[in-house]
Amino acid sequence: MKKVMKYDPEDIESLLMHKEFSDLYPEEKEFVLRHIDSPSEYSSLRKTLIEVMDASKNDPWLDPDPEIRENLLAQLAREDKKGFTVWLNSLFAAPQLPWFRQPAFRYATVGLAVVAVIATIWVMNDKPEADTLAQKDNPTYKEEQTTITPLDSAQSEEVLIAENVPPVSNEKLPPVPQIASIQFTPIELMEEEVADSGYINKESNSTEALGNTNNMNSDEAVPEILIEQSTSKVATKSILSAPEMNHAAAPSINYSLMETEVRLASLPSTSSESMEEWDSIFNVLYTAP
Amino acid sequence: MALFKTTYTSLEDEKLVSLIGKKDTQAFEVLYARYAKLMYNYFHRMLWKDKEKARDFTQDLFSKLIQKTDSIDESRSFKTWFYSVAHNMCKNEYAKMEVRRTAHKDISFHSDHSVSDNQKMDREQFQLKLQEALNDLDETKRTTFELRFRQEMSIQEISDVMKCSEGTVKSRLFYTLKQLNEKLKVFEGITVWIFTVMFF
Repeated sequence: MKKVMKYDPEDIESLLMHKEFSDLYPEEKEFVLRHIDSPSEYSSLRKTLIEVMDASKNDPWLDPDPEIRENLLAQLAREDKKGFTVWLNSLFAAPQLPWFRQPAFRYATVGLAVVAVIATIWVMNDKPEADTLAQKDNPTYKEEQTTITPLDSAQSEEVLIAENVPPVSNEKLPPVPQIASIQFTPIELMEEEVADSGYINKESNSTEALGNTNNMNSDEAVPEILIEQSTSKVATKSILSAPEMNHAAAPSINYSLMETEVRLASLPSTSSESMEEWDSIFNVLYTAP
Repeated sequence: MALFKTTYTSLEDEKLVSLIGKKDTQAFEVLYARYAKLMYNYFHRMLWKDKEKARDFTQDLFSKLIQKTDSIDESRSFKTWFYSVAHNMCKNEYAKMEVRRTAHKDISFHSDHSVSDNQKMDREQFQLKLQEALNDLDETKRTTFELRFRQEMSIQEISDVMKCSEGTVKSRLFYTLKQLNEKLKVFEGITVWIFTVMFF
């Protein structure tokens, strides 16, 4: 039975290093002679190998330049500070598309992107002006502008009232009427309701004053707002009987007047001083700006 | 739970590399201390003992390590990965320097001629002749020889670096030895003399 060889060229290296040919076992000799022509060649190879290894060991090891280390540490510090780098030629990179690799195409794409951004900013800046022009042309916008005017005047009246009326205690302030509780009552009915008031004349005078201020006749004023629980409906009615008064502004006006009315209601009706105070308050209330 | 602080010098190469990925300067310094001299001398020998080239290549190699720690194959040992990168750098340089290498051979020939004329064959000359013989080898054999006898790597490590089987590495080493033997026969006399000096 033929013996299986257990050696390979690396083992020849080992044999060459450690044994003369004469020291080899018969099976080692057989193996060596399969790769080497003769015992003399084995000896020659052995000498060369030892010499080469010895030469390699005796060859001095050089020390690297210290500058290399410094440069590398500086690079490491730079890399640490640097978050990430985006190269211009890596923008829109799509390696799977050969046509996309063309620099001209990339620059064109970047140019288009820049133009698109500028155009977007341009359009966004122009939009408010364009919207204003469009609204001016729109009839509903005109209506809205028209109806806003009385609201402004009502607010100015509210400010006026707030500035001139003396402070009122809020402790017994009645609840603010909800819009749902506001009734639209013809002026004739209102006059009947307030007929028992001793100050109906003042109401009518002040109504005329307001009507004149608004260049309108008070007789032409149609539906008006009346607060149900008000004891002195005169003031409310008079203020709200302004012909161009926007009903949307009524609640806030009513509320301001309600404070005044509470104040008025708390005054004793028989006192002469209180009567003077009533007069002064009504004068303040109905003085047209 | 670890009771003692782990020192960087006790860490394995792969762990140090992962720390370098986090820009750990101390880890880099430890790894540099381990490999800088080896790699510098490897390049020095593989690139015709050109110190400038060895310097530049060593710096480039470590620079790649800093930049590409994320791309290192963790399944491979760092040492073989590092040497394989260095090996590829040398291959690229051989391709670039093909013409100059031929010129280098011519210069060596003239130098050799002058040496034979003067009969100055001492140990230093043998080193030179050996280096010239190694330079005459093809790139794969020279790298195999360098890694085996100079860098003292195992056959398995060399096969990892050069991406070939262990049998191929063994075969290359054997035939390299035979080739060197042919070229260094002229030094047999001096070799005997060197041995005599060494042992006695």
